[in-house]
Amino acid sequence: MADKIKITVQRYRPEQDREPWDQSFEVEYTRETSLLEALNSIKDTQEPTLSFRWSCRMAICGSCGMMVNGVPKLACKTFLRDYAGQEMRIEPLANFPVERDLVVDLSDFIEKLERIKPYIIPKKGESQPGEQREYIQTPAQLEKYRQFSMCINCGICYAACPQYKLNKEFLGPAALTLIYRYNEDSRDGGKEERMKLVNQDTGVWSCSFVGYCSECCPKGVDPASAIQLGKVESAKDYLISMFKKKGE
Amino acid sequence: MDLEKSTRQPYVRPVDSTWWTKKGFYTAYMLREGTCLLVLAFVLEMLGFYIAALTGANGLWKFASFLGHPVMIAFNALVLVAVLYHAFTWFPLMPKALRVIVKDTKSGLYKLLDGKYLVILLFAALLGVTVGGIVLFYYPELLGRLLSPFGLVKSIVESQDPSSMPNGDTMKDVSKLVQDYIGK
Amino acid sequence: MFRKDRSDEPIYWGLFGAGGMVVAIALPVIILATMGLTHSLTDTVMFGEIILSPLPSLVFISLMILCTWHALHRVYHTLHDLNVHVGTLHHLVIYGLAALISLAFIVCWAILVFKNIF
Repeated sequence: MADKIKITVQRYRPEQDREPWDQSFEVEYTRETSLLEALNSIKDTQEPTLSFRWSCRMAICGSCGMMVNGVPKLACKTFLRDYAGQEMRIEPLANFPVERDLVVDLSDFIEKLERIKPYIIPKKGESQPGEQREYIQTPAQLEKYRQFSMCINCGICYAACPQYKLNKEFLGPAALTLIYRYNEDSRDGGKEERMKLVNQDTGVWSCSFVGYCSECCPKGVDPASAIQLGKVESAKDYLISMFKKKGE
Repeated sequence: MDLEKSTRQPYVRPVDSTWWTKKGFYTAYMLREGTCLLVLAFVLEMLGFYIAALTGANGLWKFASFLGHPVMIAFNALVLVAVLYHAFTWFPLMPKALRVIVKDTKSGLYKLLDGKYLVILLFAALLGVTVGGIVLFYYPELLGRLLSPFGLVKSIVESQDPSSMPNGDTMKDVSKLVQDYIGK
Repeated sequence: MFRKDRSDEPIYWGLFGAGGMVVAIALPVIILATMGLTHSLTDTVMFGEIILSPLPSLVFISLMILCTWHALHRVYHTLHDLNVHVGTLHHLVIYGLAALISLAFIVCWAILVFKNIF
């Protein structure tokens, strides 16, 4: 026998609505029902115009981030059984502009990801253009950044971050984590370039270590840690620059 | 219908300054940050102690009795609570900024210096310092000999006429006590 | 100062971090000690012996100065958290205050030492 739960979804249709409004649904669920499945069943049987993003259903694509009772979560990784006896309130991911219903405009986040050059930049003089060869890395070298490479770019840490809420110029948890991830990669030579972004007020120094990003991250990446480590790196960089200036 | 025309009109949710009251996690964070006000108040108390000392023994007594007022004791107890809350939030977050990679483990980045163990370790240290502090506090001869070669307080007290101290029996008794102590 | 390409935060963050350690480890003991002042003024002299003698007091005021920078760094960031747009003026006032309090400690210490020696 299936249980029932009340799910309230925040709706927003840009053609008709000036402000978001709430719509409630009754949904039957079993032990295995995820929030994503529940939303799909609402769309199939109750409200065909309900819009939300999703793809892989298995916490890999990072498309279905949304606020569940005020907490940013992946809908596919959220199970209705954990809310038995309660009501669920679903809102679009916080801190991003709402495009429609549960769909948000992530372009600010995507632009920041592009800005930090999230790819391995070969070290100068180490390889010729077009050259193909192995870049050997020891397990210890891998371990330096492995945890921080697990990010799926879902934007949940941005929704969890009060500093991003207050200042959209802030580079944000995921982007700073990826900077640390590439800077610590033994094959990478782009640290100097990326540190310019880290060292700014809008880089690591906008973070006040609330720590909620790490609390919410569905992949256990711990962005707050990467940012604090980034602060240490930036502080070192600051000291070095002080001595450099004298020499120049 | 004109398919070329966009109906985009993104809704930007307002930001209010009371965001930290809406979630327990944020409120705990704000309390953590708020401890700074009490720390600042205590620092100013200590600055007051130094300034009082500059005005001589009289000022020192006055300021000490100000700190001894029940209201100030209660306030300093509150400062102590805030400072301990700061410590409880400070140590678990520290391993995140100081990274220890345990060799040959694939997952446990912080296994060795896990927040919990660090808290236990540092609180053991804190306890040690506290006990040591209390011991030295009640057997100050030891500390006095070790750390105060110049006997500054003695010179301050000696520069003052004891009869100019504030009136009141307790005050006089204590002044005597102090004189006795200093005479040793 | 106030360059766009590089934040000056490392200085304040370093002081904040050092101060945070002091607040967490040393301040509880110091607070307990000042609460002990209440029982008798003899204790005041003992406390005074510690914090008013040249070398230990130098350590003591260093701790207090670090606590000051720690606390005011948090004040600065909490203002931002409360949606106050912190700018150059806030920066100057808050860190200026920290510098002023630090200076006051140093001046007090210097006068006490000077008085003691001469």
